[in-house]
Amino acid sequence: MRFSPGLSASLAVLLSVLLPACEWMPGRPRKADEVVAPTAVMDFSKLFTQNCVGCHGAGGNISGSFALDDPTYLAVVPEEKLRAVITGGVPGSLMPPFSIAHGGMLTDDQITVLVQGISAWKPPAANSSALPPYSAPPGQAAAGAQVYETYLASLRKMAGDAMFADGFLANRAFLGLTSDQYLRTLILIGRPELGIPNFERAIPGQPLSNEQIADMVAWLISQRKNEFGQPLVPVPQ
Amino acid sequence: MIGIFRNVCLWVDDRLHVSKLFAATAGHHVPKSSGSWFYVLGSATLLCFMIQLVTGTLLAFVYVPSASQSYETLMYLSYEQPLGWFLRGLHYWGSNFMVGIMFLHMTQVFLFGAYKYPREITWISGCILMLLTLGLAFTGQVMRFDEDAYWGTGIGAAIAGRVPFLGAQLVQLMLGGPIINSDTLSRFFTLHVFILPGSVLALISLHLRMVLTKGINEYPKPGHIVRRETYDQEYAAIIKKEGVPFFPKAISKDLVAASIVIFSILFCAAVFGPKMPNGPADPTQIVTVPRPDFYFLWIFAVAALLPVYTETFLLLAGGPVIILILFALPFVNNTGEKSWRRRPVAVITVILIYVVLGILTYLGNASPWSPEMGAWTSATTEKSRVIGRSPLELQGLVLLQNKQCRNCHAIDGVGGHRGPDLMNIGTRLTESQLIRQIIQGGGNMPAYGNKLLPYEVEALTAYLVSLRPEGQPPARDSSVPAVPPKEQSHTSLPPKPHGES
Ligand code: HEC
Ligand code: HEC
Repeated sequence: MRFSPGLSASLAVLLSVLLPACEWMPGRPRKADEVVAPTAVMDFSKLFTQNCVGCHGAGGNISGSFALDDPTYLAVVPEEKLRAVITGGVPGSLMPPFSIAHGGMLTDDQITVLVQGISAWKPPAANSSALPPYSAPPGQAAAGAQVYETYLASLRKMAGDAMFADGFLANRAFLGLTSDQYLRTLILIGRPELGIPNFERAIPGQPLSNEQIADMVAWLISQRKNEFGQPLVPVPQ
Repeated sequence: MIGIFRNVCLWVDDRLHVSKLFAATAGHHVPKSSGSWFYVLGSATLLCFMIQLVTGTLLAFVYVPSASQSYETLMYLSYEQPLGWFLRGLHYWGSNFMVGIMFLHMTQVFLFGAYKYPREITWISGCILMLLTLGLAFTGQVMRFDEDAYWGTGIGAAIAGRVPFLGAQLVQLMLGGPIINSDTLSRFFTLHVFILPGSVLALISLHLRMVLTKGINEYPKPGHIVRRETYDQEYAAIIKKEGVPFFPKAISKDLVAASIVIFSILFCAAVFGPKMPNGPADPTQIVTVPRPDFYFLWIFAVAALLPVYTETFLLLAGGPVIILILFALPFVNNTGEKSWRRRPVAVITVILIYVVLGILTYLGNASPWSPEMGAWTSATTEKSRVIGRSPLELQGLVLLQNKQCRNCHAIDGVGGHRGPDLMNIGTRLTESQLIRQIIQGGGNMPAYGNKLLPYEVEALTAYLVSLRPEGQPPARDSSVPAVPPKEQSHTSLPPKPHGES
């Protein structure tokens, strides 16, 4: 009886593969690829791309809401504010709460990772004392109307007509979806990625003052036909 | 000395009947025509099972079947234990190969008419082996006790729970309680390592016993008809005329096949590795879309694609009907032509089954029907779909995220695929059609009527209307006279002059 070629072949293959089948093989699972429970993800860029990029731009991506790496924004926003907004959202607005206590999916530690990661995007040279404060009470609506007109006319020249057909910030449905602070934030930082400059360059040569911004916000608030977050009264056609 | 040795050998042989056993098994004569490459699949399946026994036993040295520890022991095997990952890979790929080759073996038996007279019991025992093997595969994926396992078991329990009258008891029996817990894992472990492999061993011995007593099917010749009255003599004549001993003559192709299978399993384990658990089982985790291992993807697809009202009936009746058909086959189709060349219906059946299973598996893998749970916060939007939009339209985009529309709707392919891609929706639906779709839903889309405030609908619609290729006007309702696009495009409320409240 001859020793079967099949058997010897399989033995040879077995030995030759088993012996060197060590750590370098491509099939070896790597610790870094381990799927961890969602609450155990602690990597900033993972957390950011899983939770924020759908609505906020960053790193060249643009999205419906402002870019979280906007230098003007990072220069003015206090870190506690970032944490508070991520934790509890902006009630009544489209910014959802993320902490588990508020019905979201992130732990407090994960929120800390996000706050620190976003703050780390702040340009080192930023000097926030020269900028208007992040928040301020609304000013005079009547004065704001005038400023807004100049503001709008200037933006129209810079960004073309398409964005202004429905009233821009003064659109009533938009105002019904937007918190007072976000109105201020938007005027402060603009949307540079969409061609809307920040408060400094919106009107060439005349940076908006803190007072002007507060007045504009007051006027915009007066244009809301509803309480923010409440149903808009249907307008008879 | 040699004399004593010889006597001992003869004594052992006399008491244990080794040489008779050998002559009756490995040495038994088989038709020469069965030494074909088509006939290696059965022994290859058996080989896979042997590999599973060995690798499974080794895994059981480390694995702890408890809800609190199973995950850790798997992690230990995968990352710490030298070559532990390779062992897991062998067991995982061994099971994939076993299921795959088993189905090929069944297909070959079916096409070669080997289930016909007098091999009915061989076929039926094979069918039971198939069920047991699938049972091993199912309980095996539960051993990972990860998200997939957790939800897979949950869905299995939900199906069992729908059995009339016995539902609750079956769930209790399956899970060891009303919910998935540590007892569930112990039960599946016991099934996976004792009950099912034991039953497989018992049935394999019956299956092989039948192969020996009723002989291996001769390679069918077209036009050669099986008749109950004459077949046995004919087969005996074939063995007499051209029979060869299985060992060492007919076995050589099996050995080559065995080495190919072993090599393939080693290769896959080394290159693709084991299937890693996709996160510890956690009932509060709702983001994962559970997905079974590939052999059950088709069932997963069937369950997902069926209309809801047929689901219970088909899931409960479908299995028994398929099993009944398989068991009845050798009795319904007991004699006649064996060669597939003269059995077009059999060939078409096989092709149909493979195509359907292939498509369902593909669909099960892509599972376009499941919403993508995380898309609402993670799906990005192309620049061209953001630039040039008014603040209201941009809030519309944010709403598309915030209201989780993106979980079902992609834009430019990014997002869920349960509903249509919305990239050019503005050219397809008019504003009023969009509003109707959003408010009333329909066709697998929930109605948002009472979940959206009027100005939210307005913002959404404004954004959706803006989703169209550059220069293309919005869709127009053909029942109303055309209006210049400029006037039609801003339907949102124009700002009132200030002072008016
Ligand atoms: C569903 C869309 C959405 C997601 C997801 C989202 N945001 Fe927001 N976010 C918004 C909107 C809309 C606003 C403005 C809300 C308002 O009206 O005040 C906002 C506001 C904010 C603000 C405050 C802006 C201000 O006025 O100072 C911060 C900070 C912020 N988001 C951070 C984040 C971070 C960090 C994440 C990821 C964890 C995130 N957001 C995820 C939509 C979203
Ligand atoms: C559960 C998944 C799901 C969600 C969530 C969902 N949709 Fe849909 N949507 C669908 C499906 C499925 C269809 C196809 C309906 C049909 O075939 O009639 C559809 C159709 C549509 C259409 C018509 C598309 C076309 O090409 O005809 C629009 C517009 C739409 N959805 C908008 C929305 C908006 C806006 C939201 C969020 C408020 C939303 N959908 C949320 C599943 C969903």
